[in-house]
Amino acid sequence: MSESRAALIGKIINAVLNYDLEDLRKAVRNALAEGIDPTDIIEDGLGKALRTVGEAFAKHEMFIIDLVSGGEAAQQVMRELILPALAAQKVSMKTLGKVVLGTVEGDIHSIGKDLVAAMLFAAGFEVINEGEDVPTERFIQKAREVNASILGASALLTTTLPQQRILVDTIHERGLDKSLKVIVGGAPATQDWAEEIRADGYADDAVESVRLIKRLLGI
Amino acid sequence: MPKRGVTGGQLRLLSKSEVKSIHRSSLEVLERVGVQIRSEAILSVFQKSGAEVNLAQKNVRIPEHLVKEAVRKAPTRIVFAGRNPEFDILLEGKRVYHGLGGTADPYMADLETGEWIRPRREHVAMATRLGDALPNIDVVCGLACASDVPPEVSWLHELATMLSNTQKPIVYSAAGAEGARNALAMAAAIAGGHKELEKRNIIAILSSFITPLRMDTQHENIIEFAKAKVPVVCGSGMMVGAATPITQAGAITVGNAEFLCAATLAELVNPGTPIMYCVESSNMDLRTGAVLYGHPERGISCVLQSQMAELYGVPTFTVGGSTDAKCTDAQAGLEVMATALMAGLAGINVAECLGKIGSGAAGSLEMAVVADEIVGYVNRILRGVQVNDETLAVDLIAKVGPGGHYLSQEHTRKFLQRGEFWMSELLDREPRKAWKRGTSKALDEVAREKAKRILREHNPPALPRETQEEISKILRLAEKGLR
Repeated sequence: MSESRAALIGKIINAVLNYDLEDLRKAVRNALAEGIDPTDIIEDGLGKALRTVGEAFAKHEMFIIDLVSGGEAAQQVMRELILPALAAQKVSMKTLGKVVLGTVEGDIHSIGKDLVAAMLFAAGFEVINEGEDVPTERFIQKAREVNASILGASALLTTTLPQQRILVDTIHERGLDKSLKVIVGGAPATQDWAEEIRADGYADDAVESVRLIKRLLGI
Repeated sequence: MPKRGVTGGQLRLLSKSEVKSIHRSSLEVLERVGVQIRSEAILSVFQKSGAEVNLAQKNVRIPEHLVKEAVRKAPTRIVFAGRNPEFDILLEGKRVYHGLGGTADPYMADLETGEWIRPRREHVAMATRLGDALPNIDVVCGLACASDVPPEVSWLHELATMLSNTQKPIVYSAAGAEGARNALAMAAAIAGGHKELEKRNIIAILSSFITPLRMDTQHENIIEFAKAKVPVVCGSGMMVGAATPITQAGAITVGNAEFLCAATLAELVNPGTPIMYCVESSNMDLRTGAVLYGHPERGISCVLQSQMAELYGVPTFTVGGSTDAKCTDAQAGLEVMATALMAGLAGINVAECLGKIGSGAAGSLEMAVVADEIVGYVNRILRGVQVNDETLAVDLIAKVGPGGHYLSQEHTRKFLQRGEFWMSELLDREPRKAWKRGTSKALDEVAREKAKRILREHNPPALPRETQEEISKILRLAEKGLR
């Protein structure tokens, strides 16, 4: 006898909360096999679990490592199992928005930016992490390709910081600034720098980045 | 004659065999995992040395014998020189010195309002002059950035301003080969030439790995400074729990491996290059993802760093007195005291970061004044106690007898002169009535007034005109993108 829908979704939630990738894979496979809609798996399963972690995080009962651990497990099954199932049904995923992230050209620092990626995913955004040493052209091309609403560029050295100005200038020159908001971050960046270069926002840390993006998108 | 700083290092947390375990673990990381190096110049040095270099993956695995040779060649003592020899300091053993600032902060707390402002070159000059004046600061690093010049060259303006406003040794950062050459040119202009700079190292460069285990073209500064035989602080700025294992032992294993890699690079380029050990450990704040400064684990890490550096026989440079507080308040006091005291008890040769607040986001001149006082307090603790017949003073005790006093004894005057009691100009020790009649102010306000007074009164000698012109020339060329 097949398990009830509630029990199957419950197993997905528990696997995320236990950061158990193997259990999560099994639970998602079972749910898909039992005919549960992939969008429901995302919303009622993965999304619910990550929102639970998010609420506990806001109360200081859980921490960044919990968000990232849960988020990474969820992202993995999204890639392996759920997105293919959605593609087969020709259904696209609803998210809070698409965000392209990267570290600017000439700079390979990554941890802060990767943390922002994990936090954004856990908060319900679709994140396209272009990695490090990303030239301006690639940032813009990717943002247009996926129809992103936010572009986040990180720089960790005063010598690579100017790339953020070049990125914003290029976006303005091409008239893309109406549809694409640019935010900047990284140790040498500041609120004043962001205003000087006409970026749409600046965030001190990963938690602030999520708040900033929600504010910019009116969420 | 260089200053011989007070000897610290009374605290050890690792047994001899634990030190060796960490060392062996780092060797295993270097041989098994290797380091990713995105720089042709650095890869080429390792290729010629016999290290295992995978050009396609840009990965270098360093065998034990190369590490052993490097450590053997590195000097155990560095005379870190000031523009004025009066300020030379001897970095060796567990002698403890303290540094103002570190990497230049994007903000500075305004002395009048306490507001965080964007600092300009004049603020870099002010911070440097303050460091030059404060008696317990031996090394000057960056406390404020110059936001009134383009970021591509702001660091070079900062260095020029620092060189012009202090006679004490300077540690600074200059990314990449060209950046390093510009920094060396400026320092050479002051030292009287490159040969003189090699003899009298008035600057050192901090080159920090991209933890975990990555280097790129920014680290070519190690090659330039090694060629010039000017000290390299082989650095790791670790975000513990994010870029390294969350355990202190695991974190230092990563950072230690990075130090050994940088040390090997420096000594391969130029055997005998003076290097310093810097594996500074910042916890990631688990609530925000940002980097912490004033946490107790930092103190523990200072002890581990000192013990590992002792194994390799090189001086240490790391973050000492630091705080996450946003102003000069009780949190700042307790965190800077705890971290500075631990750095001293660890025996760190240069404990930097004094005057920084807000987790390294802002420089504070009044905090620098408080921190200077904290160092005085810490140094008294490190000086400890002397036990001998004269200090046991049994004959004196017999002479004074039951119910007598020691106030007018020569012994009391003599040992007071020798520093038996630490006295403070800054800290309030008065009875309440007197305090109310007198300053009736809290420490932050008293410190602020002292900072202002120092800035009004203290001006180190200006550089000779030709030197100033040479430095301006280097700045102009750098701004044009030429050298």
